Amino acid sequence: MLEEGKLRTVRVALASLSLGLSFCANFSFAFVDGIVMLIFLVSAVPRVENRAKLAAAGLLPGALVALLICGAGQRTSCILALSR
Amino acid sequence: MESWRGLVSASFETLNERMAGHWLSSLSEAYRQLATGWTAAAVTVARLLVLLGWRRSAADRLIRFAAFMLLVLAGTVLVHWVAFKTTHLLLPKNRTGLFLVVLFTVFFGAAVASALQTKGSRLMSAIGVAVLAINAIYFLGCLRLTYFKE
Repeated sequence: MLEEGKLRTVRVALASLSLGLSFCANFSFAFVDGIVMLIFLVSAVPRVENRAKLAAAGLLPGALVALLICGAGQRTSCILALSR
Repeated sequence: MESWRGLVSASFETLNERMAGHWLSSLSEAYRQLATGWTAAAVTVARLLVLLGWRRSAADRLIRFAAFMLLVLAGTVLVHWVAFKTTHLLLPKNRTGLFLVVLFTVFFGAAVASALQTKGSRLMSAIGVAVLAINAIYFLGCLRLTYFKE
């Protein structure tokens, strides 16, 4: 069993992953995704000791998913634009 | 206002005559007008349910979930409004604003479900269930196989 603080960090990381996928599905979800992550982080801060890890769990998975999925599309568009 | 009209028209498409019949289809425009009032009433009822429930039992999971949804809704609308006023970023409309409809439906459902568990709010929860049921029947009448908006 994970302790309370670690469990919250894992939950925030999973939420970030899901929000990253949501952002990739439609860029107009950016604001609502940002608000949800902000609420998650604010509610988790008092219950987690390692705040740097919490911030990383909240930002990195989502950013990584967005980079991997949308970044690939952007790279292809750039290559196509340059090859013309 | 344009944003609001776009959301209503995207959510409440005209009824399919083959599904709902000619007579009911002719009522769809009137229902769409009514839906604006419905939504305003539903928001008021749901807010009341959340506030009443919050005072009664702050630990109730459904109430907390409904309050979370309300916070997300309010926060998102506020951020969009600030962006519109400061940088003239257009407000969400039609397809780009449909997440607001989903958020609102989840919020409303959670508020009604939490009210169902308490004796004092039976009437309000019955109204909430009726609103959801009428809208569900309306959406069934909108089913189409040969048409896709946008």
